[in-house]
Amino acid sequence: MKDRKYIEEKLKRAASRRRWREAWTGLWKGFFWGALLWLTTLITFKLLPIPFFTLGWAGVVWGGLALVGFIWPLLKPINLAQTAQWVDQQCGLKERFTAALEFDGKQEWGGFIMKDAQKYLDRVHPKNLIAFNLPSLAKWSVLVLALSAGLGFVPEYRTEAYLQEKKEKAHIKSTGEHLVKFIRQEIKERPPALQPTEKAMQKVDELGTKLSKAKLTRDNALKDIASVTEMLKKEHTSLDQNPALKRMQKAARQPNGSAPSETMSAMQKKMADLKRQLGEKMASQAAMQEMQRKLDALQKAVQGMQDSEGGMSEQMKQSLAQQLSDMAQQAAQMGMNSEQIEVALNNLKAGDIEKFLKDLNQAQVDLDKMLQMAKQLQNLQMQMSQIGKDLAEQLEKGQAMFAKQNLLEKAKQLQSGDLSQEDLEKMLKELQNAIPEAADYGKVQDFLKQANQQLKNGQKAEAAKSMIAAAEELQKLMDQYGDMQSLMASLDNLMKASMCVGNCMGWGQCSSPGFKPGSRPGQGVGTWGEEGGEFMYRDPGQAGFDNSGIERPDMEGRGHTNRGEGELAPGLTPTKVKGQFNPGAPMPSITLRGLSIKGQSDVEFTETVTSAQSDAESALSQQRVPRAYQNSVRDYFDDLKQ
Amino acid sequence: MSIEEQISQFRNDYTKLKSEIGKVIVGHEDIVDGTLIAVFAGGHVLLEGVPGLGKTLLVRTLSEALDLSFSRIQFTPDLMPADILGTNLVVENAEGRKEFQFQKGPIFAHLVLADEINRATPKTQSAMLEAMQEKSVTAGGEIRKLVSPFFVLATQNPIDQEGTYPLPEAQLDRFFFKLVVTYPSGDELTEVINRTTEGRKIDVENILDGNKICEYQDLVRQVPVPEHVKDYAVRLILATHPQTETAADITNQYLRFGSSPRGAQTLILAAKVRALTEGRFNVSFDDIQKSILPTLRHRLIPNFEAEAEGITTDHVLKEIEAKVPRQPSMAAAS
Repeated sequence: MKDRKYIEEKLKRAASRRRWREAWTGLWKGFFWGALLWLTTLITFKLLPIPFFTLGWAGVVWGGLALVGFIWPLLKPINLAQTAQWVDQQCGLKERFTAALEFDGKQEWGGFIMKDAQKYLDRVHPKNLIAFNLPSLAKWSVLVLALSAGLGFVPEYRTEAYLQEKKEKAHIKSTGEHLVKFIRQEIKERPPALQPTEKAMQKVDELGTKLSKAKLTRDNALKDIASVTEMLKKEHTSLDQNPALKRMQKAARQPNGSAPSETMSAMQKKMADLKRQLGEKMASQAAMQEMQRKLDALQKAVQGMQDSEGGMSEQMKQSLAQQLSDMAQQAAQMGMNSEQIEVALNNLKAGDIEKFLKDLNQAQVDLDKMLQMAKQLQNLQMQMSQIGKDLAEQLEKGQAMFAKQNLLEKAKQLQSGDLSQEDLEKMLKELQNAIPEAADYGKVQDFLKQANQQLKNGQKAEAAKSMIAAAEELQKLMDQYGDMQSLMASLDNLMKASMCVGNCMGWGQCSSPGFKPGSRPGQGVGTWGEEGGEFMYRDPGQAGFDNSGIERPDMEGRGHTNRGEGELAPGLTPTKVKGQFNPGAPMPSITLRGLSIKGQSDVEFTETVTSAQSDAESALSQQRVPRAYQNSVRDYFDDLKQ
Repeated sequence: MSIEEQISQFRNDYTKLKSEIGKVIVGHEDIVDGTLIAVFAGGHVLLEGVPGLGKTLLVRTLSEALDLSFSRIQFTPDLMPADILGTNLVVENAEGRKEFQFQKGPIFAHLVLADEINRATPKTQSAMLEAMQEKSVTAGGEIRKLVSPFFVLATQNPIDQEGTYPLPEAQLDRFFFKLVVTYPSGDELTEVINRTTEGRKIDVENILDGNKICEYQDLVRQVPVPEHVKDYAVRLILATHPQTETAADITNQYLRFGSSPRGAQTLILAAKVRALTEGRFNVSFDDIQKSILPTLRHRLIPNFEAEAEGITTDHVLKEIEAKVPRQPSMAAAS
């Protein structure tokens, strides 16, 4: 038994070491096969449009295989008999160890075999027998890794159709997301009042969600957008036919005509506050701006003096002081607050230049505040001037908000019972005048008539109720108008979505096409004078809208016509049209493929070019081309000359 | 005597025996080893080789070294079974009456040399069958036991095909080993010349007698065989059976019939003897592998394709040995 113990110990050590070596080999096996799998996936990815995440999964499997390859042998239990067989084979022991374990205790022979095996224990050295070296698979793994690394630099092969489809899907998704964002924002800010509007906007939301899943093709997406657009247009049209809403639209189109967020009384209160703050004399904006400019110049001069050699001399100080003093007087005359300027003057006299500069800065800030307040006051005054004087005018101008406020005030006055007879008569007259104007406002007119009759009959409370009812009715109409605006905005976004999906462009690259009611024309080639017109960057790598297949027979070349130098056709009176010139915003541009005009030309190219050039020069000299585009036009025709 | 002492003695006697035979027989170590292994395993040997290679001399020398009775039977086409087994003769007894008396044939010796066994008719060859397997003969209606130990060492000439009768498979299967005697090398031939043409006769000492051989035969049977080694032997035998799940590819291609279970027995017994001769107490894979060719070459029946292509059973066995792994359950060491 003792002999067996020695043999077993030796075998256990050998078995343990062997197990670790199997784990080591298993690790490399798993690593190699995982790497091979990853390489295969990478090659497939390079050749076929499989999703990118498959590489990630392949990587996970790679790691898993290596891990399993390492752990699996360690989980196997130690088998002494198998180890003995292996050791016998490796050490050339002719099955002595195996026989020793098998026949130990059996027959007399078992003892002889055990003794015989004992003699060979020294031949067995597990460390020498089982060495941890890199298996050949490790070298192959390195090769596979190197191949994978190299392949990483090879661009994927994708067909044009696939790339295009992918781009389209990306744009569809982005468009859907923007649509959803917009519509939810819109619903949050302006909850729909009417159920059909709510339904329509929900449709837009659903459409946006559908698009954002990027499962639709371009054609189907466009179809869906078109169908929802149709639905919204119907809804919009039905609202648009309401004459009351038309009046409100008209009011909105006026400059500063958009519905104010405040009531009239609030605006008046604000104006009073501003006037009080600005003072009785209240200098004009121009004067304030002039003062600002002088202060700025003074600051720069002082700064310059500070930075120069020798600093500020007495003479300079005196000159500055004089200038400041003059400014303070001017400010006082104009009704402006000159306190800060005087403080600055004192600091200058005291020689504290730093403080002086700080005071000047503060004076600038104060002046700036006053300027803002003056602007605000001016805006409020303009808004107030636009508001109708009485109910009739307010209704006539479509100022439903003010009309409603007016009615509620009147109702309040009636309910308070503080009205004199004169006031009552005034009120009655105002009501009577407003009734014809309320014809377009549906039930509002009925309520006004009711209120008028009740007031005539001395039923003040009932008249007040009728007025309140009329105000509520006006509110309903305003809500409907809000719905209409929401629908307009939604349609706008749907058109933009259609453009984005149709032209395969990003949301930011598409500008809302067409004219908006009551607003300036949208951007695009050919629309001049857009304030703050943005430069539309177009990625040259993008496949844009291809119009090369479009045939325009009406655009065939007309040949060289006799333009006639300065001659006018009979009956044609020259008129001057004043355009709006802008200092020069960047020229908006998009790249379009030109029309593919095919056919035989009867006119020589050089003649046509010369004619076009002379026309261009004439247009440039007569300022018929906006300033922003003159250089571009000049360059183009100069190139033609070459 | 303890087993350890017995084993030690066996090794010594074996070495001595080999050495004594080596005095007369030059070279042919594997033939001498094979013959001795068969003797200690209790089997018969078929020696095949061209004339003049010393086959008969080997048997004679062996008989001298083993102190066993020896008889030589020269097989000819006219040899009758009675010539081998013996016959009843009419003799006059002491009283003058005539009676039948069985006259034993040459087979009643410890060591029988059946020279050119393939020259005798099948009828005569079959007379050897019972004797080789049962170690007894039936003559005149009576079963007569042969002496123990009893060995048949047969020879045959592979080139002399005319007028020969190939041994039937049943008889071939009864031979423990078939040893192929080849030409000696140059050095061996020189030594042969030196020994045989210089006149001096070499005396061979008796090393073992019949009882000792029987003892050693019992000892051999006690040698343990580890299970996986036994399993290897079994798989080797199974690989020779064509059209079976375990058959090797070459088996299916070139063999008509594979080895019988007698082949497995022979393989194990031979391996046991080899283990003892190397001083081991257990059988190993090497012992089995060294015994494959002599054990199985005469037990496989090649098909026509093998004969047409000149594929020998030795070739098939070598292929099988290469294909059959020693330990299928163990993973190959990396």
